[in-house]
Amino acid sequence: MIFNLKRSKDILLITLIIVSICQVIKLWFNDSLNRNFFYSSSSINDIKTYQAEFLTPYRLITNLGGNKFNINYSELYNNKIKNIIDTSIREVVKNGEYIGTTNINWNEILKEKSFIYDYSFYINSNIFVDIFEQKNNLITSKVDKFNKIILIPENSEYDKLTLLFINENENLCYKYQIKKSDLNYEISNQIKNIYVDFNDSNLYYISSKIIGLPFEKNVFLPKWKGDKFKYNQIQANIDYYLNQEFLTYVGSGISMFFSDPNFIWQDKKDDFYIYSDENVVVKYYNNNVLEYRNYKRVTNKKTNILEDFSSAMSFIKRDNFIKNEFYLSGYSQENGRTTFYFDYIINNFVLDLNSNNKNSNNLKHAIEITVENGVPIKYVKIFYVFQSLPDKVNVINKTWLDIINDLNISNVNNINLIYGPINLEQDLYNDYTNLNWNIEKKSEK
Amino acid sequence: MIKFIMKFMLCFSFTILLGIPVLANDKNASKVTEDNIFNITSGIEDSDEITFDNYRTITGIAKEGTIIEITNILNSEEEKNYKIEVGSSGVFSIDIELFTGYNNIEIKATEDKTTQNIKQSIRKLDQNVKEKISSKELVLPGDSILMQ
Repeated sequence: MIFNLKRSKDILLITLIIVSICQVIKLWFNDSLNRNFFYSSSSINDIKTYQAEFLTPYRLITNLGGNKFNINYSELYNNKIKNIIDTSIREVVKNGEYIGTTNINWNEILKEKSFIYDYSFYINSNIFVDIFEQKNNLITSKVDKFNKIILIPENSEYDKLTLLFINENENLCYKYQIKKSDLNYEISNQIKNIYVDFNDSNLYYISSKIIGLPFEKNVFLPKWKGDKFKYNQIQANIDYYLNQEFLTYVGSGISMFFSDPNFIWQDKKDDFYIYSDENVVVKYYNNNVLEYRNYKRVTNKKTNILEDFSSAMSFIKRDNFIKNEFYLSGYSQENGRTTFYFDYIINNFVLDLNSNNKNSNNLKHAIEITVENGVPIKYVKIFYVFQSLPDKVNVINKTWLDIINDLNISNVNNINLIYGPINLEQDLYNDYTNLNWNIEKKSEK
Repeated sequence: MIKFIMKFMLCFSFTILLGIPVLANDKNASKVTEDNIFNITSGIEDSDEITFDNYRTITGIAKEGTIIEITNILNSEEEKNYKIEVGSSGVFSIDIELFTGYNNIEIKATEDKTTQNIKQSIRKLDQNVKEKISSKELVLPGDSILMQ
């Protein structure tokens, strides 16, 4: 009897404990099946996928020969041609041989048809071999950093494939080659397909080095038939009105940052709306910039740059309000924290964010995200979605030659066409953004 | 005596071997000597070429104020003319229209009273040929085709 009573008590106690745990879960995590766990870790496949995106160039350049280049900024990740190029690069890095290191001779390099990966920042060769999973030191023993990779299939010898790593700052070209590769034919074929589809009535690019311009580095200049280039204007869009709908819309864009959207404290200050819980603060500024900060104590686990990048990408990809295509335009490291900078691509042009103008958030890129030990601790972005307007056509009246004839070209580092620059202190919603010539002078570098 | 002849032959051979690449380079370098008032940097190949291009951009360098005139004579019949004055950059760029057939191009530069010119021929193929290559109706050496 006593035994049975004791057992019954134990069973009752265990039952009550289980029920209380369930009730606590239900109380704190209402609708837990659909709960948005913003901090949940990605699967191993996602991590590898995100890490590989670190090496997605900001533009893929196809050298069609005859000083004609096709440049593609858009939809590069998981692009069919890019996958073939990646496979070829992997092949050369794994089975090729090091030929030598020379100074860059652009006239020689650009004489041959090729594919060019152009990066907007310098990549450490250690990171490159990690992503390409190469165990040998064929690359790291010779190459320190690079900002371009060039893949040149051989025309005369049917099966030789050449890979160049270019470091423009150091004026170095590291040459690798594989003597026999089935991929040589595939690469040649892809370039030929692009050439066959190429229409010189559309926008294409020419090399400043080939035409003899005295720029320090090679610049790809946009070229079009005739004197004028037609393009679509873009507009910054937020579907809200300055009333309760605005707060509802913004609120829905903010709730994803919190562990429980039912427990967010909110207030309005002069320049921003503020939303917070015990760990997270989100501010929505009057100039439509959103800033997220996580004050929760981060772990002591040390992470490398690829792991931090993977965390950053995982975080951004969960933000459903990011609808424009974006690319990694650079990163910086300070005090154990890495900040990644991303910019937008629209209509195959870069959107430039007020590089010359100051704004209250000091935001220089469309998205900036800071990661510490694999945890995003700061995330700042512009809240707009930029849309191309099919019925708003404008023209560029000046060609690259008009521009450089107006300048003292000895001071110029780079000229290109960009949307913007965007000034966040202006009302972008009621204004159209145009394509403009962006001139980068040497003193700004 | 024989030794002297052999030594002479050896020295002569070395001289010839070393001299050939120098002479070859000199031939290629003749286009960019200081005597030229202009240089073509792209758009014109060293030899006659074949293309599908509708337009050809001819770029080059010359002193500011140099007048560049380009004449395209098609099949010795039609003629089209282009003219540009080189600006402060010292670079010129002219788009010339190519016609199907043989485009005989003459580029003339005039600086003060000095004139120089270059001639070249570009053969443009019919766009139908390009479309046939694109649709695999016409197969170039090295292409793969689907056997049915």
